[in-house]
Amino acid sequence: MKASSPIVYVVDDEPSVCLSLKRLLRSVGLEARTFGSALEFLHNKRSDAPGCLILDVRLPGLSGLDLQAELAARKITLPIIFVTGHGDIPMSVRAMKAGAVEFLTKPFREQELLEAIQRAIDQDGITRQHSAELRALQERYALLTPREREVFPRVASGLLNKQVAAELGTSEKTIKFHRGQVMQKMEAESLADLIRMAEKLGLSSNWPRSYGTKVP
Amino acid sequence: MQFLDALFSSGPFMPHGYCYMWVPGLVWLHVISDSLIALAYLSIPFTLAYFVRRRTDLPFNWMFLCFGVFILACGATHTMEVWNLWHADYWVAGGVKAVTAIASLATAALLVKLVPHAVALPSPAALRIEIAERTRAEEALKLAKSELELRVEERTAELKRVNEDLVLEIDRCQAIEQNLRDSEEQLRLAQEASGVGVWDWDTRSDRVKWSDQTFRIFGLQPSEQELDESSFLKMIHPEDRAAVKLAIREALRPGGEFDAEYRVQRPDGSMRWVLAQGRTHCDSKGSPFRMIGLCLDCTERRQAAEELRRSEVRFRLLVEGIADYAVYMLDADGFVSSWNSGAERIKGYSAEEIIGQHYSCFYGDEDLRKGKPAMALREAAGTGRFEEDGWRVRKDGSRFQANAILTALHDPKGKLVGFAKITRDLTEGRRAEDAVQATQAELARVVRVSTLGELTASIAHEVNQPLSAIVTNANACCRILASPAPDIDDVRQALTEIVEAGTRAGEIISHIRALVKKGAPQKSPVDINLVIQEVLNLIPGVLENQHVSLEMELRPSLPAVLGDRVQLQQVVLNLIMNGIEAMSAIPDRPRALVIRSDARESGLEVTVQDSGIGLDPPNIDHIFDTFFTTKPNGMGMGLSICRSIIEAHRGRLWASQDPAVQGATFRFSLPAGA
Repeated sequence: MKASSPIVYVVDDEPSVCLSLKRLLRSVGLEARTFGSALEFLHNKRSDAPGCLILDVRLPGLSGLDLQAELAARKITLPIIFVTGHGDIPMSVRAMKAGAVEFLTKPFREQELLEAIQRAIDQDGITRQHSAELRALQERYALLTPREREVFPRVASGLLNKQVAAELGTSEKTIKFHRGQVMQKMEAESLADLIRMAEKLGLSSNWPRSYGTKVP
Repeated sequence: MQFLDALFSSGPFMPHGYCYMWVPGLVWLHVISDSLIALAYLSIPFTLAYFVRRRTDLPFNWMFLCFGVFILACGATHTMEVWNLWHADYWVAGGVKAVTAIASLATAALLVKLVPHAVALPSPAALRIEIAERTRAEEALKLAKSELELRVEERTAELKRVNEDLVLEIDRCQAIEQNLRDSEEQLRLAQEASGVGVWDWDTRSDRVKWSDQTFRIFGLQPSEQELDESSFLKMIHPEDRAAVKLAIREALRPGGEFDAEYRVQRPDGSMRWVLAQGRTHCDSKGSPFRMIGLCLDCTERRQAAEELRRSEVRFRLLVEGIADYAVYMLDADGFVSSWNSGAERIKGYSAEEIIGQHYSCFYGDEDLRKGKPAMALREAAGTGRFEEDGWRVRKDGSRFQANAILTALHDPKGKLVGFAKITRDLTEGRRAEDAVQATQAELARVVRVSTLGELTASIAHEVNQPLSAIVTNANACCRILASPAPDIDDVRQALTEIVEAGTRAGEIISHIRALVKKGAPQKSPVDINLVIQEVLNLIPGVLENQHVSLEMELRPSLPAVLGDRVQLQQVVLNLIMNGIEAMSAIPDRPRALVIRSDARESGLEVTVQDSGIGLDPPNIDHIFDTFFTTKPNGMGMGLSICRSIIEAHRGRLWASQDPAVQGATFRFSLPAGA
């Protein structure tokens, strides 16, 4: 995982707000990128670094809530902090339900804003880490042969080599070999490691742990 | 020959006369006696032969013949005696005697044998008795015979009669048979034409016979096929099967009748309704042995009935459901025959109390005196329709302005059967119009308020943008200045932005004020009473809906003021609406709104007084401040705008809490037009 510094995106049609937010965030050591409209934001390439989006509800053209829906549709998981000059309850409920981290009214209290930004960046970091890990696992899993893909979930579900061999109709020795290959290709250091990987890949859930193997 | 010669020759013998010495007397005595005996003896066999021949029925007639032979032989011996007197043929005479002896012995022997039989022969007396008896019997027989004949005659006559009857009977039977055939044919035709099928169930052997039509009703080809109860039940729709079975069981008793209506599942899948009726026949012990009846496909009839029922229900629901109009029917003489819910609502009578009453009870006395009800009926009967607007009387005696339409109803032959009457309550209609207007006014008010809401949101947004920039920049400045090496240029830049934003916020505020004030009012001479009237016209129904009584004390011929009519209308409207709203929460005292106009030294004064919740004394000084409100949903703009308007007209707007009355009093004064 690359440890890049977080970026805060600001979408607000009011330049003075954008400028002041950029200054405030710079004063606390955060990089901010500002956009005057939702479309401008969508058209710009985003960094891989963790970050969050400070989004004005009332925007010309595509509104803040529309942009939230659009990001969800594009499976962009950037956490959103909504800001508005005149917020009402239904609007904030809608935004929060759609996954917003916070809903703040202008003028913001500095503390609330900074806390929300920190929370959002942390959340994004975790999400990114998870998806990066998963992506790495999937890359490794792609290296497995079809036979190894049969052996993997069975081993991860706690079956002994003998049992796997019986199930797949082959010898224990062959299974032992396949198992070694799986461990090596998946870069698993232990069986517990392998089981965690299977869980993340969504493999182990298909296998009833009828033999009572405890997952460390 | 010699023998014969010897026989008839006298030989050495001498004739018999010699013995008599030819004494003539003696000779002649023997000759005559023997001749007479011989004659007699010779005649007897002839008589006997004659007798026997004539009496063939005689028993033992051969005996008579024997006697005849024997007597004939005796006669022959006596003849020989005569011969022997002159001729000495004693051998011949001895021969004749020998023959006679044999005949005599034979006859004697036969006679001995015959005697018991002869003794058994009835005697003539017995015979006579017998004959008498026989005669009697014969007579009795004769009598019986004649009796018999009589009876035979009678019987014959009787038989003849019977025969005649029989012939008649046969004729009658044939006629009956013909009739029967005719009626069977008629029945068949009738069955075909009417679609009625016949069924006949032998309950003991469980065999059901169907007529052709019955087969057709069940959707089957007519055949001689016999069914049983279970195969019949199988053809019935499963939902009806149990009911039919039950009906059959209940009908299986002396005098039992089967009557059922059920659905039949035809082999082609279609479903038909069948009506079946039958009667149970029982033997003398009362146990059923047969059930015979009819069945009929009643699908169409049922459908038609169902359709009719539905249509009736629809029509009834339609008419009954009309609540805005009294819809009812009168018979030809004007008596009420039906009543709908609208009629009940408008006129106050329930259906039970009014049906059968004469419709003239809906008219007032003066109309009755003028004979209006009868006239209306005549007119409707004559022209088919009568319509009028007039006063009608409800059950409670109250009157209402009504529009009534009377339509004559005729049967297909054109005979008048009654009238349909539709009455509309015109006051209701007017009230409904009022309600529509009230709704419109309410809508207008909502639009006004929500526009204000929009405006407020817009203002908040506009003002909050620079405020936001100011606060954020100030926060940033604090942080920058607190850092070990503060970027002073950045701080200066931030402060510049703060100034700009602050200036913009002020501009926004003044821009809004300008929006509200919209410069100097368009001034022209205005009659304030007219303004008040116009405002009241703008809100028709609102006062009524809120159950507010309005009291107007407008002083006529007030001095005109120079002003903006629309703006002044806004002020009056605002004050009135505030007053109404202040009273909307009070349930326990009359809601009264007083609008007063009066002349004052320098001009005029308008008062709007309500009986609502009133004003808290501490609030009185603030109620005209912008954004000050005591209402849960208020914006706090109305009164401040009103005051701005009045002040722009060089007048004054103020509020007071009059201790004498509950509720608030608002007044504004305007200088006389100059």
